[in-house]
Amino acid sequence: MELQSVVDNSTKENLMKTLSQFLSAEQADQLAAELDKLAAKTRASLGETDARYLQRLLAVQRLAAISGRLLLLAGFWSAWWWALGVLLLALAKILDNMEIGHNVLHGQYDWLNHPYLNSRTFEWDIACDAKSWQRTHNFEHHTYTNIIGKDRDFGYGLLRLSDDFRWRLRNLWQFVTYLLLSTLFQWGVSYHELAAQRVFAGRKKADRHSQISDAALKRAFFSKGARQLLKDYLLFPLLAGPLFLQVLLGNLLANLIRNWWTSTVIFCGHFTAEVYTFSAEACEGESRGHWYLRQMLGSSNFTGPRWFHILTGHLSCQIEHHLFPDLPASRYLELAPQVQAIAQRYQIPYHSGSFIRQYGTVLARILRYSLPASARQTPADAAG
Amino acid sequence: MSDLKTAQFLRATTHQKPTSGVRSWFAWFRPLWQQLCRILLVQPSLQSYLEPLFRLWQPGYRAGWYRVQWLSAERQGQFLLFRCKPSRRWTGFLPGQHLTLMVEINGRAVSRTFSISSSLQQFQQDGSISLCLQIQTAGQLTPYLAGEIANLPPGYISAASGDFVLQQQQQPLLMLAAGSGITPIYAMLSSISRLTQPLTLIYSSRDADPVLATELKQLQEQWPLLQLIFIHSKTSGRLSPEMLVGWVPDVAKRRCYLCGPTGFSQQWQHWLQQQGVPAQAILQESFGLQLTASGKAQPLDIQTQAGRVNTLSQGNLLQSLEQAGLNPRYGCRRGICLQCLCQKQQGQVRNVLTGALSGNGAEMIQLCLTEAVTALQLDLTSQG
Repeated sequence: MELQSVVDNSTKENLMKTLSQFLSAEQADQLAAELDKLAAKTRASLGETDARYLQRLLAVQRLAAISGRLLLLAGFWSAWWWALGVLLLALAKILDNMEIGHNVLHGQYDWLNHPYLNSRTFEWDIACDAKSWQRTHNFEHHTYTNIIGKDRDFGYGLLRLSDDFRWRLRNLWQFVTYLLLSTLFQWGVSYHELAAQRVFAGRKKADRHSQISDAALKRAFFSKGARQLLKDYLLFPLLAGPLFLQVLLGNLLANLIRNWWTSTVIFCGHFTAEVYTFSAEACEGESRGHWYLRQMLGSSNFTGPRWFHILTGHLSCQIEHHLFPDLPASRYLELAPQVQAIAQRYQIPYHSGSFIRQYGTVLARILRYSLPASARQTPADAAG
Repeated sequence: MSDLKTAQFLRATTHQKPTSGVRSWFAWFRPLWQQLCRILLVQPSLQSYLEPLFRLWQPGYRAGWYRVQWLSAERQGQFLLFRCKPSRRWTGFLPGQHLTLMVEINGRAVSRTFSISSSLQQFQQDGSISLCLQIQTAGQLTPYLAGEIANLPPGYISAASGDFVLQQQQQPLLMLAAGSGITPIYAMLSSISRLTQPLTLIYSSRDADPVLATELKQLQEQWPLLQLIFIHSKTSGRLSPEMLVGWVPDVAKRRCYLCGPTGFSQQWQHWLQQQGVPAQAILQESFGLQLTASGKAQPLDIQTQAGRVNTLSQGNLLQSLEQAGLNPRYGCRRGICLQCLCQKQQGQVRNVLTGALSGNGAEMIQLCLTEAVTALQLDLTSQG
């Protein structure tokens, strides 16, 4: 009940206000100056500590991966060892994808001038080709955050998460679609750009331009996907000899755990009840300040202990991440109270809550928009 | 990854040992091995996968680099002369070659390219090499290297590279050096064990007591065939063709080595060819991009898939490259998405947002966010 009312209030507000109604042009410029100053201060303090943190993180990730793969073999003695191996391998993959991969590919550590920990050459342990992800995520999603029709991450072209989208019959069972997407998340991410370009099926959209040919897209998709399949389901099992099957199953389960975790974290970033959506016209020629504002309105945080934040790649601080995508994520926790204070001064909603609460509103949102606006009968709708 | 690759490439080219059976087998195996690392470890190499673990008990380990032990440092006018001992894995050098020196300053890898200024004999005797670097007041590296030897940060070097090497031919020689261009020339001269042909070295410098002058005079005492001419450009003006012909009437018969700032080397190469020196008898190396005031159009030297392109900067680098008819990759054009990230090989840029100046060495830059402060060398092929 309580969740429902939150959803309804935000939608109404959402429809009423545009960016400039929130903040005037001068206020937006002030906001930009304050946030720029905050970023500059943090950027100036980057150094040895951040470099060491990344190295320690990598060491933990490598240890988890190596011990996990070895323990999968020990399943020969006891299934418990095998289960522990699966968890460790899943941990290694989660660290690689989130706190390491996502953040390195954002260029957060480019200032280190490191030969392989940089956004240009890094590859991660996931089916998605790093370059393709950078185009759709770093460029499309981070530039056009929550602009309906421009940010394909809003619903991934599969889920209807606001009334801005026309209702279709398939939205009726979109909760099942969501569960499937979550299970196959790495392949969803990997296919994301190809779907946008209508590489295999569908009519190309007139307003989409791509700097890369369909053939190159296909090549990267199949080559990275095949490498990952080969690794987890053929080569590592083969190395185990007679233990082929238990290694294969262990890898499969580790991949699934990673998929569920990453998708859950990511859904909590932009699909909670309170987040705003925007129309392309309203964002035309927006100033830097209004861009900042849109990032704050379109993202939401959740709270938890430090290790929990690391497991999410600090995407638990989605607002800070969207304001400063190229600052090392491990700094977001110290930035969060400062950003929140700024938000309060400008009366900008700052969406935050416990993980359970935020995830609850995500599920509610998916269910709610399964139905067309006309068919929904909630107290708030009836009242409004 | 690119650094590792270059290091391997350099090793392959600088190794003068004959190919043994093991080596050719390795050459066949290497691509397969790299592919395996890419698939199984999702890393460019086994070294880079294990580096974080090595560093747990060997904090000084850096994959792809060779550690050096600082032996001594000496200041000569505007130059610092270092003697250092590379780790035993280092693959050696040919006199005239250069290498990249990297030190980590507050976590950032800062690198610069230097010519080796010592002889082969010195390296064979005690395994040490000397590096000569010009003190750059605006440089990032110099302030950290100018201190006491005990306080120097740990140094790392790449394999030696470059085609500017002394060729053993029975022909009179002419060497022209300007400024710090003397360093590779001195390495060549001091590595000659017996001089059987006339050799003229004309060394121009702005200093009255130029760097390495004492060492050169010592060489002259050993070799009567060495004709040594110093030009103090402040008092006697620049080297002119008339002066040169006066000292070296048989210039057309000489084998020529030129090293100095870009303008110097190009000008003399052109003149020597006019005098009838065949192109293959002239070896030249240029360096040095001098710091000039910003706001001015700067020459850009861009490596593309189709070859080198030279143009002048106007506005930010992304615009400059597009004006030149090139097709750099880009995304948001406002510094968020890192799609336009490109390798800068040499020269200094300013971040238009923060006003921060970059170093002079190789690093990744965002084309849309930077403008040229000095002449630049960019590698557009790094955009992939």
